[in-house]
Amino acid sequence: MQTLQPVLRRGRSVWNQVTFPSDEFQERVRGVRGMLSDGGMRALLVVGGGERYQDIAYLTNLVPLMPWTVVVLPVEGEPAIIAGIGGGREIPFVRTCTWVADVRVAPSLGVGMAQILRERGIEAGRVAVAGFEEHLPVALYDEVVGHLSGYELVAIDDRLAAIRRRKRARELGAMAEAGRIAQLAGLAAVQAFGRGGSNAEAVVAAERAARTAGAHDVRVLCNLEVADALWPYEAPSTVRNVPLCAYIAVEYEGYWADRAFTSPAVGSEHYRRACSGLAAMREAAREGARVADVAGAALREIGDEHRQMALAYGLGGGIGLSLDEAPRIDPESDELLEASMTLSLRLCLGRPGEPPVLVSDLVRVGQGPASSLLTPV
Amino acid sequence: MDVYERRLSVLRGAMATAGLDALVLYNDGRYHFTEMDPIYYLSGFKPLGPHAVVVLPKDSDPCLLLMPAWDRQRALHRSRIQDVRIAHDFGREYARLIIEMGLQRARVGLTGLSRQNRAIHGLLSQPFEQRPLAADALVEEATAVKDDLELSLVEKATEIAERGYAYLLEILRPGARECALVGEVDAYMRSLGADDNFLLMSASQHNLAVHAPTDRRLEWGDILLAEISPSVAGQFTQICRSVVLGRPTEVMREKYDLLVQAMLAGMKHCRPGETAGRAVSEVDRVVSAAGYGKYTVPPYMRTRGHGMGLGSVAPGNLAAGSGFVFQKGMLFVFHPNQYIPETGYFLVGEPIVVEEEGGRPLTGRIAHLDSVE
Repeated sequence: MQTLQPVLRRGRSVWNQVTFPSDEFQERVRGVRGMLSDGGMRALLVVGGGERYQDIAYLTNLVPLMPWTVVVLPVEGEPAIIAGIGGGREIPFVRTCTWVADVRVAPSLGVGMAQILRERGIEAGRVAVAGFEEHLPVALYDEVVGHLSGYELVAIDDRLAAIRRRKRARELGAMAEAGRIAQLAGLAAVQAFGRGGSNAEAVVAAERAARTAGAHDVRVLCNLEVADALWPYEAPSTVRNVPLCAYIAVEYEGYWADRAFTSPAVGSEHYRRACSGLAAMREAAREGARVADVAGAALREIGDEHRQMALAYGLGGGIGLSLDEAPRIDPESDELLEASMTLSLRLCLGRPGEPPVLVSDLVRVGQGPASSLLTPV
Repeated sequence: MDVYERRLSVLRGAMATAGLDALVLYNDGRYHFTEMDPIYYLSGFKPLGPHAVVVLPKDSDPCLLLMPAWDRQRALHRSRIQDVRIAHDFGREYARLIIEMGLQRARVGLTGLSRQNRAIHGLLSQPFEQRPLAADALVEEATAVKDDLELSLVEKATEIAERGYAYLLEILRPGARECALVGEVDAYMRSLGADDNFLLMSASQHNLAVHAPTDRRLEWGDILLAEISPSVAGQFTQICRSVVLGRPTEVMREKYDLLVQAMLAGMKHCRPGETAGRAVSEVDRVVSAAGYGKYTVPPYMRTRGHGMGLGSVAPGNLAAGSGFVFQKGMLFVFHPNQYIPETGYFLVGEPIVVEEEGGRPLTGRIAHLDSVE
């Protein structure tokens, strides 16, 4: 779901070595290096930062706060991180967030990448790149590629995404914790609303609960000023739209989980139908299944009258180091589900002018029906 | 003429000077503390992304084209631009809009270049026969001086920042976790009307810099650093504060006061006609005279401040040698934040407006080494 991005993820930011010890990253790096070697590539250059950090965090644990972070991963030799351009004030803290020892700043991204490659003895040949086409603005792209003109650059974004799509056990653990925090946040919202608070006060209560429980980031959409649409929080308000309908996404140690809350909802026909649709999606979401069939299962269950709103807000999709990973649950999709994918399944039902009902689940794909990663609080 | 009409007029004036027939303002839904957001500035609407544009012809009404479709109602509610359209297929509907507005042969300025990868830049340029000109600087310059709405919003945001800091002093105690403090203070400021916040808070017995909050529980003797930067309707402010848990030592007070004096000395030069570099050199002169010249450069500090604003973040970073000339009504945070070897890193900073007599702080009380005992 598209959410309003803050200028800064302002919650808890640590390298939790209990959740993600060095050996976890050694395994991830081993897998990526194997893929590079098989393709005759001598190193990988990943560009990201800010909102787009998936590949950087997967390899290093670092979830950068600011734009422009680079990971240089040679097939042989120590990796390095360029944690920004100029300055260097943040370097001591960045070093506490990653297992990578060589953390530095550079006068420019292109100069920094070329220098590290040379330091690792890589003067020419095939070098894998990720994030270049998607993240780099035109001028910066030209600067970076200009400094790497002696190399054959091979974009491997899709291959890295495919590796990340199948979640490892420790990743599932982090997502379950993110889901637990999202549940705590939802409970705080429901309680604030139950005490007579406005929808806006419920949102603030959810954010407070999430950050105090250890969320790095939290995003909330809610029926704030109008009953029938989900908006981000932009200002205090005394408006009470019943039922409270909220979408809460939490990032914990880089990993996202999301939850939907509709309160009070139990007993309404829309709620019953939404829950049936969600159950149908869980049943259909299994290894080898067509993504379109998962969408079809939900749409059949909810009926034509709810189809338009459900599709407008989306039926969910892949989730992990990004809130929106592939595949998107869509009736037109031609993708297949793979084992150990994680999906956010979602249904928003309603008619124009009426409060919506929003339900969701966070699931892992396996041989049988998808299993929920969420546990009741 | 209301403030949004004036903003249109200001941009159209800049377009006329540059010989532009139209401006295309682009936003991808990513927000940065030190980057302007001309769509919010011109429309009062903050897009979610992934793509939104405002097309502003020189002599007809502007149009806002945005995604996702389900955000249409909010856009209609918030936007001062009347013509609001939804894009299901952004590239196709953007091209159709340019044709409908008859702008294919226009001389066009394009903003938001730092948010455009090659594919998006190509898509935004493609409908035009002439390659669009980079227009971020044009908008920055035209909107460098804050209007009444921006100033009233920054005053409100500064009030929220100071109340947030007061709340922090109220709840701060040894044993509190950094991230929990941020959760509490942030929520408090949200309840007062902050729509976003560049909030960094961390503590140590000898800080090297401020950083994102961790799990760490505060101890007596810590110095808590707080960079508190709420925004109201998109307009940010910033205050930089330092708090000692326990009784501050004489050395702490002396060194903190040195940075406050440096800030006040620099602020006097934040007046029309002076360069940003002159104000920075004054800060560095005071700090260097006390024997800390080595620490007036990175990595012991970052900058001495930076502009803030919706339409413009001019004068950009306040750095040594900056030749940018202050104009009356510019807004920025002035912060001689830096490392001092005896005490560690301190945060000292105020939001100020450029006036004839120098920078006028918007805060009710300027930075002071506070303590919780």
